Amino acid sequence: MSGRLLVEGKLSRGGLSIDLSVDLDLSHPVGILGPTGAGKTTLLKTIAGLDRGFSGRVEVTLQGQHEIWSVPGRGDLVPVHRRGLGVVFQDGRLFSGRTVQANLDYAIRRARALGRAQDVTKMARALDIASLLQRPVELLSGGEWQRVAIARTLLSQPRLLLMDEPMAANDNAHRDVLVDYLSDWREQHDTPLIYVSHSGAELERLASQCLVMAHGRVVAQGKTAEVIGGDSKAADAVAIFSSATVLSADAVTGVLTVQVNPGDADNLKQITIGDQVTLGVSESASGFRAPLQPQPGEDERESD
Amino acid sequence: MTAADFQAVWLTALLAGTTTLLLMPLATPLAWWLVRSSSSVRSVVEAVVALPLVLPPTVLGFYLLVILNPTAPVGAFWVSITGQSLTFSFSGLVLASILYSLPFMVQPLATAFRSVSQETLDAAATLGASPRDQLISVVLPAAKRGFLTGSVLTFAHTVGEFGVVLMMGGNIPGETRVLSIAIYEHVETLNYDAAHAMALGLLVFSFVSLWAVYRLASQRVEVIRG
Repeated sequence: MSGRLLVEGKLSRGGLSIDLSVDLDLSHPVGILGPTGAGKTTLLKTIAGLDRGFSGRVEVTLQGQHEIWSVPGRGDLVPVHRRGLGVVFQDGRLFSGRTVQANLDYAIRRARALGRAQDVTKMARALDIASLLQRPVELLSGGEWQRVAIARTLLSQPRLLLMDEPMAANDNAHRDVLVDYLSDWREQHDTPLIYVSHSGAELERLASQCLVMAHGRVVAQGKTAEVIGGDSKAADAVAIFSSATVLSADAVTGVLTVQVNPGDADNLKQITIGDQVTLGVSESASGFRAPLQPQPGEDERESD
Repeated sequence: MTAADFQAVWLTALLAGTTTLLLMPLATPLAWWLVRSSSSVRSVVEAVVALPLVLPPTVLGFYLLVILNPTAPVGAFWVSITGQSLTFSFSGLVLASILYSLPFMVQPLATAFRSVSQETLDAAATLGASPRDQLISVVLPAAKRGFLTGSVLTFAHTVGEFGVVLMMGGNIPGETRVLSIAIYEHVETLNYDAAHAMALGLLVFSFVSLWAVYRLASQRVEVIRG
């Protein structure tokens, strides 16, 4: 399995200009990490062609085939429905007024490879939605709703999977099963995956490589284990500062004073005196995450 | 009620039914465009569509008479291809009713279409549905109730037409003499019994139609299967 994805371009969102520049190796699943409002969802929407404010380049190589989906100034060359994507949105976006089965059928009827037999019953059982098939989606719980959304997307047999916190509303037991199922499915179908999550633990199991976003930019990229420092809790950071200027560093008292970028100043509201923070200093950029405690709830919804 | 009165009832039902059936396929793309378009002429079109709500029917009837009479270009063209006049004829009444009832079909449809969010359409697109497919498989099923409401309102509104018919249809039995005109004529000739029978019938019909619409609107969304 090989593949590559290139995103380059700008978009403005409520006065904030986001500069997206991403080059991803799709031969291994990619995780995306970052605080709320960092632009993770925006990046996925841009790749999918669903962000109408985006002007830039999206190029992809899937199964050895190079495709240009979007170029600056000329908009989308390949419309969303021809990109062969599977997107699981944060809110699932099931079709209301229909049963679970009708939602799954919608995907099956439009699946990319119609001929390929799909064992829907088996998938439904694995995702613990088999008993819900005749139920109108309005009557599903948050976790069930998300599991149906995942099943629906997988049944459309996408060439590239984009998932935006697809399990956040599920309990730990279901999440474990989902992560395993998704890993197996992805390997069996040889499908690249880009996975957004607040949960470092989820990412460590699903994605071998990972990028961290903050304020619409990629601030770190590398192997998941390295990026989240082997400590999965670090991925639960409530705020990531792209860089900060050291004002004083006293080796005797151990007091470090830093000034964050003006654009990051808002993030300081998340921190109170006494919080534990993790700092990282590198040659190219310095940054710190804060605080590790208290951790945000994993079902926290992103607003961007 | 006389045979002529029954003829008026039949003619009214025929006019309302024809208008509803023709208006539905015309109003659907128009309502869809009004909901989806970001064009600057959209508000102009919206205002034009809503005009029959505020204009006296006599004004609309007057202009239609001016435009469609056989000596005017449009009216003459119609005569040349069909051999019939658009004024003082059933086909002319159908055309007038379509224009006059336009907002009653377009607005319920637009409301129904608006209830389908961009997010839902995006989800359909990522599952491989083209814009056309999205319209057929997502928007139209979700707008089922809008179609029902629009049809009932259009039918009832056409049944209740008076001014436009009087202006450009006149009172030709079997051709343009609809219920409201027949009632008017009965009152004019002091035939109050016949007027009562027809007026009461119309009152009951209109009430039932509106009651059906409101009942429809208060019902829970039914589940679309398959």
